[in-house]
Amino acid sequence: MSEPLVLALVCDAVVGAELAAGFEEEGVPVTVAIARGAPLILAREAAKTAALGIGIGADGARLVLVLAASPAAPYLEADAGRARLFGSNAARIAAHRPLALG
Amino acid sequence: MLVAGVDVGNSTTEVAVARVQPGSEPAWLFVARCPTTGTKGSADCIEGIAELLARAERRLGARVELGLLAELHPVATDLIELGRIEELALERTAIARPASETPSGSGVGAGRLITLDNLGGPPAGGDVIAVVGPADFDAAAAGLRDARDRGWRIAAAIVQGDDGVLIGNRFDRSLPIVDEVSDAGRLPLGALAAVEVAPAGATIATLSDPLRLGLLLGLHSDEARAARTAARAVAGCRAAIVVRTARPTHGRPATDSSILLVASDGTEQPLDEQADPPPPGQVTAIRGAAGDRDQLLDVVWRSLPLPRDDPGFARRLARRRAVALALLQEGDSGDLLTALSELCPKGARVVARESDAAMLGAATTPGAGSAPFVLDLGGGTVDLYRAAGTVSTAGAGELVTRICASLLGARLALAERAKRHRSARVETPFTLHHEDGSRSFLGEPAPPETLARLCALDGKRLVALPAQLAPEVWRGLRRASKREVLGFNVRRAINAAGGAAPGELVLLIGGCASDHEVLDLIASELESSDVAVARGNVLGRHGPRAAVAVGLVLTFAGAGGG
Repeated sequence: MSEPLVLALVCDAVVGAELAAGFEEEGVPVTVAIARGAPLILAREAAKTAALGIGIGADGARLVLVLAASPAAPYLEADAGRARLFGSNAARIAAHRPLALG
Repeated sequence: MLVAGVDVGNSTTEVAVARVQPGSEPAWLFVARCPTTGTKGSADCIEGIAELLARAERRLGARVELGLLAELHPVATDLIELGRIEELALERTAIARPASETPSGSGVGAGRLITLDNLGGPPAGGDVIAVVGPADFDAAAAGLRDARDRGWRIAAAIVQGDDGVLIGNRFDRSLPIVDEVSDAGRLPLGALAAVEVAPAGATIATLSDPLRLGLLLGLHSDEARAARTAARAVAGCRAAIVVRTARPTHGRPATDSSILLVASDGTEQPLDEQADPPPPGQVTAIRGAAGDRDQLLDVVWRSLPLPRDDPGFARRLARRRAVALALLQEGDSGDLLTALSELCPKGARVVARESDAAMLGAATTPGAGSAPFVLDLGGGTVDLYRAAGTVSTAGAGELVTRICASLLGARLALAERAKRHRSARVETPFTLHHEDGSRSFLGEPAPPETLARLCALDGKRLVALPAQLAPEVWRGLRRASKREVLGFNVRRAINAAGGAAPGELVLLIGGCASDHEVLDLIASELESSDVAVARGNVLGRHGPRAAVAVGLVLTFAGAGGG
């Protein structure tokens, strides 16, 4: 399997499905895999693997996006309950489109 | 004695504090400014003045003893936006609006609006447009599939949430679907509507054509204006919806907005948007759509600058007009003088005309000598000061801000920042695309809210602007706004003063003159008159600011300082 463009490592399949729906709405492909760990650690891990340098990590409570070029701090964060919007915004970062921030 | 020259402008209040002793030059101690806190010349302005004088006292450890005012150049300004009138008239006939950035499918669909729930019933004849409320995308797609299987002819869909593509992928990828229509629940069900989605990178072609739109929505020939206004409102967009609302009650055809200009000899004529405004002083009153106003010094109207290479956007702006008025005010500086007297132990007095003070203050610019023409580019007016008196023209910084706000769809405070600063587009979290076409790399990733947006570069801060314009396009529009208002009024003022002799120095002062772009724009506007255009630098260090305040202190000191 070729390496993913954007990788999301999530503890929770429901969160993963919502994230994927956000990406689908924006027409950007994402690979979602189940993993255990703290969201920021997972996101860094994912960003290293993802071809676009965009990694997402999530547990049941938090979502974190990390840019491989600047992994020290999260670039985007949200509650796990807002996974769809978070996915759509992550996809917009990949597509260089303006984000929908409340 | 510690004295303060106080200049209250339409937008900004400035003070200059100096120690004045008979027989010596004033010792300048403090110059500062703040936003004006009331109508120019009214007692409300004292709030800002008091704040500045308190700041001076804290800084200097001593209280200002005497306040100096100019004989107020009694001009108030106002701005009116035309073009809204038509849009309001349109609402009686149709709802027209651009739609989201990620529509689904492509093409045009027209039909009667029906909710997803009502598609559960037996199919009606004719095409319908499904209105999807807050339903989950899987359920919505299932409902649409089921309805189509049972014979409903679904021509398009309007979706409240941001899941048009998700629904399209599960129902019909080619069906035009627009989403993020937040008031989908309030659309008039049963009304005729049309939805159009263009392929990515293209713009709609049917709903922006008044004839085709009229046919789709069954608009009658007497509703041609509504069709035109609706088509214009969605021109240049990738996706749009237009909904036919109730047929207007007859007998009230949408009329053209009209404003009557009354000349000094009492003759009236309608404002001709295509013509240039008359020289300052010719129109003394207006009547009609913008209200009735008397004692005018000047009326100026400018259309919004149009982006040449974006015809759709140009069309949406085309009917907008900004009208600036300068009104002679009856109120004198008496109230303000009384209020200022109460702040200063030795009272306050009026020591000079505003024009004389401005010229005296401007003449402290190193190398300027006594410039014969001083142009004060303020918030509300462009004033030309010279020995023979003052010419005031309506429309200056605030009008530029209004025009920028209209172009950007931004609030005034944001438009003010956009007006004053260069722009750039944040292309990726790490790269900026500047308005001269160059690129730069960011050490720290740009804030997410600025990503892929046009931003004003306010120092090191990126301030996101709501319009999706290329920085090069916005730069052109921003400069054109300044040229249309400031350049235009500078030329009018100089012409009204009888023109400038070749080689003459034209010195620019006032808030707008601190904008680097403005000097070049005005210089190029005056290129044909062969004059030297320079920026004031009051006292050699305050730039084009505080000329009147400084000039008041100089007048007082020159008269003996007692």
